[in-house]
Parts: sequence; structure tokens; C-alpha cells
Amino acid sequence: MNSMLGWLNPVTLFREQVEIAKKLCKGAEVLAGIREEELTADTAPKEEVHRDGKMRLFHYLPAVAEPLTTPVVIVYALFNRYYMIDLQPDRSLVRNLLARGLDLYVIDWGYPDGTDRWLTLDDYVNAYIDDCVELLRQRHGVERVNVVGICQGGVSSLCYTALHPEKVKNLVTMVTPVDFHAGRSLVPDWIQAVDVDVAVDALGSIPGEMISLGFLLRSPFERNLRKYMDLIDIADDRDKLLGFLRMEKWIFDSPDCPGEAYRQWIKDFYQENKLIKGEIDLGGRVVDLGGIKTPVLNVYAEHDDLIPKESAAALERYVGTDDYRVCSFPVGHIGMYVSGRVQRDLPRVLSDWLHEHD
Amino acid sequence: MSVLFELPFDLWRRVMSSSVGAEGDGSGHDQDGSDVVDVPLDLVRAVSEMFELGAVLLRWVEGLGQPAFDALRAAPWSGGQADDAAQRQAGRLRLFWDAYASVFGELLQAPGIGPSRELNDTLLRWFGAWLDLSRASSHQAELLARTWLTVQERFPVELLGRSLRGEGPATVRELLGLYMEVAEEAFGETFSTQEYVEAQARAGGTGLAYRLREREVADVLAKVTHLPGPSEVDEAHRNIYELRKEVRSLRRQLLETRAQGTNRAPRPRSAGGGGPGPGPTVSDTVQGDGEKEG
Repeated sequence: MNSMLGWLNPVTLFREQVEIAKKLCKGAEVLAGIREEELTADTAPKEEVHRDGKMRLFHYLPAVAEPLTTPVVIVYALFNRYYMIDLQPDRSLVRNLLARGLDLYVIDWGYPDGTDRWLTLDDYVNAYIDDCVELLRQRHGVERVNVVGICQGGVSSLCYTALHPEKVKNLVTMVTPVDFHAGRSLVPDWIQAVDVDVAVDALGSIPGEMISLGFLLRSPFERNLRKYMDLIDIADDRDKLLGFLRMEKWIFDSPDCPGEAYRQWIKDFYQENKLIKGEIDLGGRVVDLGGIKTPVLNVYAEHDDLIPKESAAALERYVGTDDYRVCSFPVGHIGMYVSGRVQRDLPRVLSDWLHEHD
Repeated sequence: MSVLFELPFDLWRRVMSSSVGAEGDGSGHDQDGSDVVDVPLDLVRAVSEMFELGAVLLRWVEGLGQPAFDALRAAPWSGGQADDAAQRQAGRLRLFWDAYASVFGELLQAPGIGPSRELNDTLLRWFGAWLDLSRASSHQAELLARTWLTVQERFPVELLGRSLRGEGPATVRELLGLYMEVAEEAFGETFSTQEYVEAQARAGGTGLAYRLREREVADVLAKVTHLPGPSEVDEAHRNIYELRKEVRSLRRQLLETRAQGTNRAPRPRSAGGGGPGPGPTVSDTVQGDGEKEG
């Protein structure tokens, strides 16, 4: 079979075609029975407790009678939707953390439009996040809350903790870039050459599709062709197909990014690497990572091709706390949310650490 | 540009004035015989200016044709400088743009005239931005085309190599998988090169610059049709944003004043407490105003 040009064997080819045809027929049957409603993610019960503009703060209903005293607020990235952390019931970081006794809140940035084009990172950090934290302090009667920042949300959380240390009890950063020039990755390399001023002046808010395209092009054949070719293998399995479709929905559900926030994100963070230099200015105050004295748990992916592990792991060198712990998983960026191993281990690591530090 | 029109006009004027002068007395000769000398001098000048005109026209033609000559010289059948298919392709891609830029491209940059000057200039800038975009896109496409060629070169080698090792693909899917693997690697290499990064950034940048010019055209057209243009809408959005910030700031001040007045500083809750403790409710704080802002 594996002889030279063995694929030309007509019997093999015929068998393959028959097998593919069978799978496609079965897949079409399964697909025809699936409706958009079944792709709904973010199914853990929750209530809206705060709203400001497009931003909403949700409270997940606790799954245990006496959850952890200090509430946890999850700050997700601006570029994707937060429901990746609760994509489906059996692959849900949220449900796993709730089951382990955490009292969870999540910030939903919504879908910014033209009216949000002038929002800056200062607004996100010092207004939106701060309002949410303030609300939780009052709601729970606590001085400080736990903050979990994911991806770009991790950077916002770092900035917030550095600027408002008195309000953060523990900080968890997940797949968060810190040294934007460390490690090799296509996207950061591309971003270095981007004229972000022209982009923002021309487009206002940056279309989510454009950002999404940049992510997809970093491995064009794998992310745009092979995954659809491999779909044949799971097309006849309803559960797997549902999982694939949910992921597909998340990938292309990219909100626009407010122009001014995007300008600062690209220029100050990616191009000038100001975070580690202590030169980020938010609302007239300088972000000094060395000023973070709260306990920090840094979680990153070892095979992340979007945020190189060197970039995430660099936090250790710049953060001012003595209570710093790191935890890495042998997965890629998306694997941090959906990998079976991460789903099994990450909630335990997170909740144990937060319980220890409560 | 102006010399192109001035020269023949001047030439025509001089020749005509010479002819009129010559026909003045019907003989072509003045009484004092001075015209006998003047007429040939004018003719000499005229002929000299004709040569000058010819030189100007030649430079124009050269500008238009030189890239074509270069491309032909580099073509494989001429035994010229082309050493691979990619270079030839690159030459052909650049041919049009070089020729265009050396002739009409420069003309487009000249200031406009007349009452529709502003609109014309805006349209021309838009067109110019489109040219820049097309040119930058061509360069990016050229690099991608080169990469496709690399893929076509590498794939048979890889296929043969694997087959000789007894690891050849056994099915069409495996064959396609191998092709994609080779292509991914080749494109990954291209995407990482500084040349491609710059070409991509240039294509993206010129695309966005084109969009900016498009906005300018939309602004002019909106003004003519008494509609708010993109710039005005942008300005309105900015005002809304600043008002929102002001409202948020006032709201915070109000809450702080209330908190100071009623001495309701947050108190740590005892461990093991039940649900969220008392405090200002969401509707007391921000939700109401937030709804208005949304």
C-alpha cells in the first residue's frame, strides 16, 4: 500500500471514495437535523447584574451552597467572545470552576459599533473594569476581589491590578502576553509592520472579520482547508459535529474593536513593548508591573502560536509580587479552552490556588 | 507638461507671423531688406524648437516604452537577464505600473482647475490611492505567486522522496494532506520573510489609505446632497463618547458624595457568609444610566 505512488492503486482509490461518500451521506443526514439553537454556548445559568453601554457584567449562579468568599471576575479579551470559557456543558471552564465552589462573574464586552470608536484602554481598565470591581466589592462586602484575565483581558487585568492594587486580592493571568517582543510568532511579526494610525483613521472601529482573518492566515492551509477536509471523519458523529460547529461559530463571531483602544493596543503594547518598560499610560497614570504585590498565578500554553510562551512567561521578571506561581500546559492557544487535559486540570489548579489564597 | 503645449503654439505663432510678414508686401522682402535676414532666422528658431519638441516627445515615449523594452530584454527568448520564471513574472507585473506612473501618474498629481476643482482633486486622490493599492497588491500577489511556484517544485520532490521511503500517500486524502503540508511550510516561510511582511503591510496600508480617500469623496458628495458625511458622523460619535465619559464621572462623584454622606464604606463580610451582601443595588448605581447610554 505504501509503495511508490501507491495512491494510484485503483482499488484503494475506489474504497476511499466509497467510504467518503458514505460518511458524507451520513454527515448530511446528521447536519440536516441540527439547528442553530443547538449551537448555543454559554449555557451555565447566569444573571445580568450590571450594564454600561455595550458592556455587561454577568453573575453565574453558584453551584455550591457556600462558594468562596471572595468573588472572581473574569476579564476576557476584546477581540473574541467570552463564551469560549463555556462552549458546551462538557467542555466548560465556567461549570468546572462553579462546581469547585467559586463565585464567578464575567464581563461581556458586547459588540462595539461606531459609537464606541473613541473608547480607549483607559476607559476599559479605569472605568468599565473598575466599575465592575467596585460593584462586586459593595455587593459582597469585601475589600478586594479575585481577577482572572484571559488573553488580551489578562493584559487589561495586569494594568488594572497595577493601578488599583488595593482592590485586587489575587490575580490570575491566562495566555497573556507580557513581553510583546519575546518569542517568535507570525502575528506579532506582522503587527510590527502595520500602520495602525491609517487603519484607525480609515476604519474607525476595526472590523472583527479583519482581526479574525489575521488569526486564520497564520496557518492558511491548516485553518482554512484541512480542518474542513478532516470534517469528513466526524461528520457522522452528531456530538462531535456539534462541537465542531460551536467552535466554528465562536471563531467567526468576532466583535469589532474600538479604534482608539486598538490603536493603543497595537502601538504601545505590540510595537513599542511599553508594558515591560513601565511606560503604559492609562488616564494619566503609568502602569508599573513592579507595583503588583498581590499573589499572581500565570497560566500559559506551551505551544501557543499566537502568544509565544516566552512572552507570557516573561511576567515573572517584571511583576513585583513574591507570591508568583506559574502553570503551563502542552497545548496551543485554543487548546487552553477546549483540550480535555486542560479541562480536567486547569479548574483544579485555579480553584486550589484561589482557595489557598482566600 | 506645459512645455508640450507651449512649444507647438509658439512655433505656430512664429511661423504664422513670419508668413504674414512675408505676405505684407506681396514680395516677402522689406524695403530695407532686413526681412531678408529675419525670415531665415525665424525659420532657424522654429526648426530648432521643433527639434526641442521632438526631444520632449521622445522623453515621453521613452518613459512609456522603457519598461516594456526592459521587460522584453529580460524575456527568456532574448537570452537576456531573466534567470527564473518568477523574475519574468515580476517584470511583467511591474510593466504596466512603471509605464503608467511615468506618464499619467505624474499628470494626476498636478493641481486641478475650475469650479469643480475640489471634487476633481478629491476624485483624483482617490484614484491615485487606488493605483497605489493596485501596485502594492500586485507586489504581494507576486510574492504569493512565487510561493505557489515553490510549492509546485517541492511537492513532487517530497512525494517522490516519501514514496521511495515507502511512506507515500495511499489515498487521495493523504495525497491532499501531503500537498497541504508542503504548501503550509512554503507559505509559512514566505510569511516570515521581511520582504513579505513589508509587502503585506504596504498592501494593507495602501488599502486603508484608499479607504481614507473614499471617505473624502463620500464627504464631498454628502455635502453636495445635504447629508451628514462620514467625518461628521465620526465627530458626532466623538461627542457622544465625551458626554458618556462626563456622565460616568458625574455619576461617580454623586456616589462618592452619597457614600460620604451616609458613611456607607464597604465592610468586609465574615467568612462563610451566604449570598451577596447589602449595598447599593445595581439599579441604584449604574444600570439605569447605562441603559440610557446603550
